[in-house]
Amino acid sequence: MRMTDLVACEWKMQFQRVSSLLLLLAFASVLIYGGQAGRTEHDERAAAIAGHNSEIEQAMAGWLDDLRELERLGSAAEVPPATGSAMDVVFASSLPQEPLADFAVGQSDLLPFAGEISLWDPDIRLFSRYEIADPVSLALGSFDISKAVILFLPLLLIVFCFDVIAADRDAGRLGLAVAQGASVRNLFWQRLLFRAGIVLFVTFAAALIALASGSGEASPGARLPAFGFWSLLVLLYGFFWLMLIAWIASYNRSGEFNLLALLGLWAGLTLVIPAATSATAEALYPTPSRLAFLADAREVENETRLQEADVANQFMLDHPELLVDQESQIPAFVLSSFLVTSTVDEATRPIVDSFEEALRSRENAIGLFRFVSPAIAANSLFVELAGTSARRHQDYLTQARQFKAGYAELVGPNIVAKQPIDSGFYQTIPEFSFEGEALFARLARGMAPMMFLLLLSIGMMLLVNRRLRSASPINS
Amino acid sequence: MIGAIIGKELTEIRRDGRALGLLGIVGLLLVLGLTTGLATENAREREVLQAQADDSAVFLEQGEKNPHSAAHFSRMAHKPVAPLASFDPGVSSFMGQVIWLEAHSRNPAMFRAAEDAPELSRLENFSIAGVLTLILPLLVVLMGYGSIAGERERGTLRQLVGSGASPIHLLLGKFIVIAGVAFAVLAAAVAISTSFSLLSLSESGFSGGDLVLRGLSLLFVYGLYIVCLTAVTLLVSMLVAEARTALLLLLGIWVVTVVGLPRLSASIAEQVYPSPDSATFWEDTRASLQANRPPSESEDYVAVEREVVERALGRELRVDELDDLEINRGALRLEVSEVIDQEAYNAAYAELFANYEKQKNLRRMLSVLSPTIALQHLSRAYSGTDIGAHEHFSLEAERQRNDIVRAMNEDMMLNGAGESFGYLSPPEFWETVPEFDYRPPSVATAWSESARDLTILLFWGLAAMAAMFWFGADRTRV
Repeated sequence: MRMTDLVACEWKMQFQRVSSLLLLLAFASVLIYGGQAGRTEHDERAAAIAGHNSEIEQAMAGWLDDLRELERLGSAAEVPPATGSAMDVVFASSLPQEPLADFAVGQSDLLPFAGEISLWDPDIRLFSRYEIADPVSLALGSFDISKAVILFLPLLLIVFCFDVIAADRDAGRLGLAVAQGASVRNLFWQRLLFRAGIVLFVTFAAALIALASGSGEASPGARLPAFGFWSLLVLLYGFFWLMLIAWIASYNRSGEFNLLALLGLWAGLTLVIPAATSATAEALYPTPSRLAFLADAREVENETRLQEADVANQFMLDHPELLVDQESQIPAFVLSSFLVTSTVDEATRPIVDSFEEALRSRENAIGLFRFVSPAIAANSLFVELAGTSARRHQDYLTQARQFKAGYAELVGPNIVAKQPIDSGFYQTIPEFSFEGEALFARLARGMAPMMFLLLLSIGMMLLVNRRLRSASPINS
Repeated sequence: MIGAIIGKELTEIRRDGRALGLLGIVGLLLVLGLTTGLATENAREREVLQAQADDSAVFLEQGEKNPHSAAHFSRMAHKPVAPLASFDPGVSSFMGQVIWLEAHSRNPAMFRAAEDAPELSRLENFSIAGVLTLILPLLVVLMGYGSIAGERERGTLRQLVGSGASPIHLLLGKFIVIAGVAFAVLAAAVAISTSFSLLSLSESGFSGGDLVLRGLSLLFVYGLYIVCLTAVTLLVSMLVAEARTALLLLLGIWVVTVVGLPRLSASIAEQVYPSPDSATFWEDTRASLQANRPPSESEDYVAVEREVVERALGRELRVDELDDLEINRGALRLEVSEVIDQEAYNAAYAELFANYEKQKNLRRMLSVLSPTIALQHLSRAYSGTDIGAHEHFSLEAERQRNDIVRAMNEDMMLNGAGESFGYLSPPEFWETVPEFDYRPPSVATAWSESARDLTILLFWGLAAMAAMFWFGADRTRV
């Protein structure tokens, strides 16, 4: 049988049926919808960041105008009493969106990605009042093209390939084909690759539509390399599933057995193992209680308020160069709030550190499970590629807290001395800028499980190839 | 006759290694779900109780303090863990655990437990409810796909009918066995989960009787789900020629209605009725607060002032008495602004929860295509882990915030005349501020709020049964 005959036959038998075309159409629609839903999420985040930056910029422009007025007219200026207080300087902060952020929503719909940095807020409330999103969507997981691929690509491959030779064998046609000189092995691989090729073609066509629909300000030049890597991951993921299907299909069993076995593997690898791993990890590696953290912070806040004079004296002893401006108009509660917030932050910093440490060690423990489920491995790489992983969000929160601590150290003496900062000094204060890990470093973390899956897939391919040499054209 | 059919079907299931294997896996997953769920939720409950005690202690130890400063420090309202959260955590992990009852501001609940859960939990979540919703249908499919089609292929169906067994009796017998096995798994899961929750009932405000009723309600709705699944499975097995085709079709139905549509429905609802992002929500709320505040000389403002002072004094004021009263005017302004702002805050949150309700209604419409969506709504509602339960807590916490802030403002208003913000409340004053004694809504509230979901699920169950018996009576090909 020539290759063109096989392709024509396969096309006619498998893909010209209304049910098959409907299935492919439904798959493409789900992928395109996933791309569109991811883009909507991304655009909302981008708009929120732009709005946040503009709001802070406007607020600080007003603050600077007042300060310049005070510098020009002195005590004759009609400005609020706290004008020029470094305590009132606020900074915009946000987690930059990666070029392919719309391809995997990850944790970006759950964790803070933008927020005001202000000395008025202790660390525990640095990012607050953001818990507004629809909890049902969060609970069921945001839908995006990567999630659609993880869940549905294996299913489509299973539906089209589970009976790659079993259907003919069950119907008694395979023996006829072999009697006419066809090789079972060639027939098996050619059919498998053709059918998988059609499914992958639909996948990449939908992905290209999602890519072309654009993602805000990211240029095609920035998106293309990331998309190339995303495509490679999809191919690796698809290859693993194809070889798994081939492995099951190469047993001399009925189509019904193949289907049951493959569906069982799909449910286990994409639904049960990820869910069970997550639940077990949460029970085995609980994070320190945030409620206890809050209780500690409030206790320190209360104690600091009760001993405010002592705390202020201690600060003065630590900064002997300070001269308190007795004529200052800046109200006393500004100084008091600064001291309380700084003390609370200092006291709770070890708790925050242990919290972050616990989160990291748990993620490391879970990392081992990426080797047992391709869905876990692919998901972690997709979110790293999109820049929407929990780790990247945690890094952002950590950097925002560090930035605040650095700023508090820089202007603390001014605040306690009740001295306004001058506009020249204000211009020299650096803005918050997120220093993220390079893409390669992020991906390198998740590549080992993917390479393991690749080796496993190659191993299965060799095994299947050997088994097919002696495959019987009739049911065993 | 029915007894003989039931006996034969049970023997076949016992002999079918695949069904027993899957039954074992379902059992294992349920045990894992129960163990991890109980461990996580019990730890969370202990944390809540400890945090409540710590918060109370810290509040009482404030010493001499300006009451407005104390109103900013205020209290924390901790949401109790729903006793059946270990069965179905629902959306409780995504709604925050504690609300800061701060002066001037109605805050959302913070510290969503899901933020600290492993990243992986977003890919797929795991609980007893999850196993029953996702995996139990597979067990039903596996037991039932070949029930009729397989017998027809082997020729035994013709034999059975020929020996006098009516198709309806055959169907009924097969239905009783398949649904019975699935129901036994369900009953064991619900009974064990409810019993453990009863044993660990603490001061969370839920009663034992309420918990048992919740367990029975869950048993009923999941039972309906099983009825529906079994009837659809037998219907498909009856209508198609080969067992393999029945299996393929049923697995397709499972993927679409159990795995795909619930996720897609949530995503579609969010696209059609998008939740506001937090920046927009607060910007709109600030604008509404500004618009709602009358000028301090206006009649509306003075009317609120009068109402606030009369409430604080516990008597009506004479016509011109307000201006002559010796009270702390700063505190009066604070309390007036609290009363005025309440309205705007309540409207903003009501709109937010109304949007969640619109999303739920849209998902409910889509549950016409998948009973799993209606079941998920019911399961969350009866477990006390749905948005309705959280809204109830949020409203009660807001009442408590108003009471606390009012107590502080009134103390300063009545006892701090002439001292402006220099007034300090005595240390013993904090003991007079009421504790937050939250009573969660009973199961009756969940019943009434989820009546439409129950109707949809009932419709699904009845329609599937009717279709199965209608086809079974007249059109079974032998």
